[in-house]
Amino acid sequence: MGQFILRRIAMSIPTLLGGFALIFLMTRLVPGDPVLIILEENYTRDSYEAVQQQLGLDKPVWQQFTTSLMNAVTGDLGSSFQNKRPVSVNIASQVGDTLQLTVAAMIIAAVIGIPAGIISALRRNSWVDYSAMVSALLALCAPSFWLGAVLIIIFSLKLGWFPAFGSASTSNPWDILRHLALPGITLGAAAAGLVARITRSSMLEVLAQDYVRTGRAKGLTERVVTYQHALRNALIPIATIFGVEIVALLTGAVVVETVFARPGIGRLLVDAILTRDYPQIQGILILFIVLAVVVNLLVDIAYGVIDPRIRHQ
Amino acid sequence: MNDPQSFSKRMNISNISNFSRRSILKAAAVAGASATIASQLPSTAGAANLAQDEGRKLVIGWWEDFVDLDPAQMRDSLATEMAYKIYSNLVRLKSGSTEELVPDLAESWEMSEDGLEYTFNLKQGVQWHRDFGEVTAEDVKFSLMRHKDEAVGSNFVNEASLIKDVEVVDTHTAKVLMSEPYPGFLVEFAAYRPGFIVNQKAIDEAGDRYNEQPIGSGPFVFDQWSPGQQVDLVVNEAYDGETGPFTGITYVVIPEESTLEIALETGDVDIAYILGPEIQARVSENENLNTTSTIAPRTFYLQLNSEREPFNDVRVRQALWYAIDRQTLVDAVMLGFGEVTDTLLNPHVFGRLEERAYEYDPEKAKSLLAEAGYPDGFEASFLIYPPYGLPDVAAATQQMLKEVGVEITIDQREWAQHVELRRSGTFDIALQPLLRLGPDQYVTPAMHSESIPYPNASRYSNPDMDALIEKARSTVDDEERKDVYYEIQRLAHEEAPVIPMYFPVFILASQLNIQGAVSGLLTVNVTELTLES
Repeated sequence: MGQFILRRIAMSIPTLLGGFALIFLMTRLVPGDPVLIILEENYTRDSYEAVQQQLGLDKPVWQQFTTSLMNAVTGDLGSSFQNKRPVSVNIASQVGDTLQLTVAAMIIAAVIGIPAGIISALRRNSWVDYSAMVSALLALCAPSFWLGAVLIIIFSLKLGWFPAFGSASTSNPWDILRHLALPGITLGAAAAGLVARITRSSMLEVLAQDYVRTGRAKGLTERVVTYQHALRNALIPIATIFGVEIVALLTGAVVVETVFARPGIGRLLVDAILTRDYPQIQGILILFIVLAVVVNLLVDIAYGVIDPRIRHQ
Repeated sequence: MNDPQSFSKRMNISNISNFSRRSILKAAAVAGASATIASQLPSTAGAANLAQDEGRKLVIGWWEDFVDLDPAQMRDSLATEMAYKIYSNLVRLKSGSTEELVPDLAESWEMSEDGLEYTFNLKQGVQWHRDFGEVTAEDVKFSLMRHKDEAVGSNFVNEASLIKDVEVVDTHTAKVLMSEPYPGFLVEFAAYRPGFIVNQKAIDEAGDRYNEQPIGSGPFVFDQWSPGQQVDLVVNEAYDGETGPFTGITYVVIPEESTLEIALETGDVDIAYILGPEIQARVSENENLNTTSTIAPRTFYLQLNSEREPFNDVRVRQALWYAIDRQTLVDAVMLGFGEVTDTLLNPHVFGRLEERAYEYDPEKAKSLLAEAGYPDGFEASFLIYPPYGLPDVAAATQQMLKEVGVEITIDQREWAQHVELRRSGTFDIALQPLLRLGPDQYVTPAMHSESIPYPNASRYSNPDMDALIEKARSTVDDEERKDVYYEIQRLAHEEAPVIPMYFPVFILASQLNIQGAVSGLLTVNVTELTLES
């Protein structure tokens, strides 16, 4: 197992390097000029050159690339063009809120999606199945800016159960949960819908397998057949979905963070893109790649736990 | 138009003075409901249930977090609003005015006859926040001169180039020496972003972390910042002027305006600017909120690329000006929250020419186009960007121009690309705002040839215009200077290098128990507010 993890970590290095090069290239290729954004009406040839020099953008692009790559390797992500603070400080001050939100959304997706999928599969073509799958489809389709606004109006404005905006400013867990509830549901809804549908189809497939029939034939209870034999085998595609969804949730956080006025790196990223704050964009996207690599590593480990055959291969 | 109240009445906007007992009771009911939420939010304290308790912070809602609190790099709205609380200037503009000056650090000041020397007599004993000592003339010198320092990379390096030196006469007297007369110095420089007086030691010590520990001498002290979420200021106990009824200010960042509207309704936010017409309309009719409004110091205008045909023909530019029914744009698209203008200069700005030169006249537009050789019109692209309802304005403009045969295709880009395309000259017509204080800050970027290719993206170049603008810059006598600005604006009517469209309206909405708010340059006059129970 240890060797497996080490191998996976080694394999993620080219992913990170390739990602870094791609991000660098993309930020430079997108039209728009960070210096112009900073200067706006104060633009003159002199002031342009001064700011360009200050930001190091007067150097050739290949030189900018090697410098920022070397710095990134040593852990220095540079300073934001906009507020001059180190990129790592800007990220550190807001990454916790985004992680809270994404984890909350994943938990909601798992807690609602997996049971809904299992029940639907077990009661295939009943009204329970139909209503669960229609709800899942609606959850998948509902745009988060709309869902967020509806939840705020009902649960904050009308009922007053949850705060309408912001994240908890204390470390009181109750306070954190209250602030997380609505944005977590908003972000997790689509993932829950997806997980429910995947779980259902995966369960149906497994339930039709020979070993399930064998299990029933040798007199196992329906409960043992379902939860010990079928579900465990059905979990592989579900675990895969979580690996894919992490990136979708991180990017989806942008909208949810805006609607609920929560701080977070999603909003930080959008602001950085709009102002062409190259170091800030690079820093956040690299973090996204690292998170995706880590979560997929965890998913791979989970495969081994779920299905010993994968571990022994 | 300088009086925000008269504007509100005309616009039928509910005002500070006309709320009823019933609306207060209603507000109290809403307050009761939100009090439970508020109590769970220790730092973003609910407004409603706190009127009776003494130590209470004011919660201001804002649509974006601040970017840079260093005056040399300051360019965003929240930093500016906070800077007016944290720092002192030598002089300040009176709330709601962009002309009338009041003392701040300087208890008195005078300008020499030739306009080349400004002498400021500083108040004695004004202390920096957090034991950084007394504010002296040396600090004034440091704060103004650093804009000239290349290593600082100040945004105000152009303006500062007119300052020759700052002489420290004694501890409490500073003399600013100009290399040439700069009549806009007090309003555009001393009372604005570049004029915030900063502490050298604080700046040197903090380095790239200055935004977390700015030091000023104003009525409020920077306390703490949760990036993307909120900023807390506390009242400066040592401040000798008016600090208002609050123990501090909490700015909460709420980027989505409909969420901000809800936060005002629940009482989680005490006061906030509302910029979008639809929400402005709703907030104005909300009996549980006070609203006050003002013409925004922001002019939306069209740039026409005069390097491209047919915009190199003045008749075509005039024709477009006649062809756009701007009053209908304001009434229908902006829902009345705006005012049509024929000049870039805002109503608050010195030297504004009140004359109307262009009324909506499609027939005249057609005949001008025919005269210019375009009897059947032409095709052009129209560059816009997403906020402030501009896509709706663009769609309406498209229909109006179609009436005179001009077919425009709307090209919507985000701001970074919008700016880039204008600088490189790859556009036909572009719509954008100009947000400034002094008259020169409007005419130079938009119409002086030295501003080509940007901000003068129209690439309009006329030696007569350049000469007039330069003359206005250095004319010291106010009456004379005003006449030069009139001349500039009349020439702009004739030449149509840009087409001024309208000024939007800013609405400042607050809870009913907060009185005395004056909507101005996107600042909140916290020290002048009163709190009623």
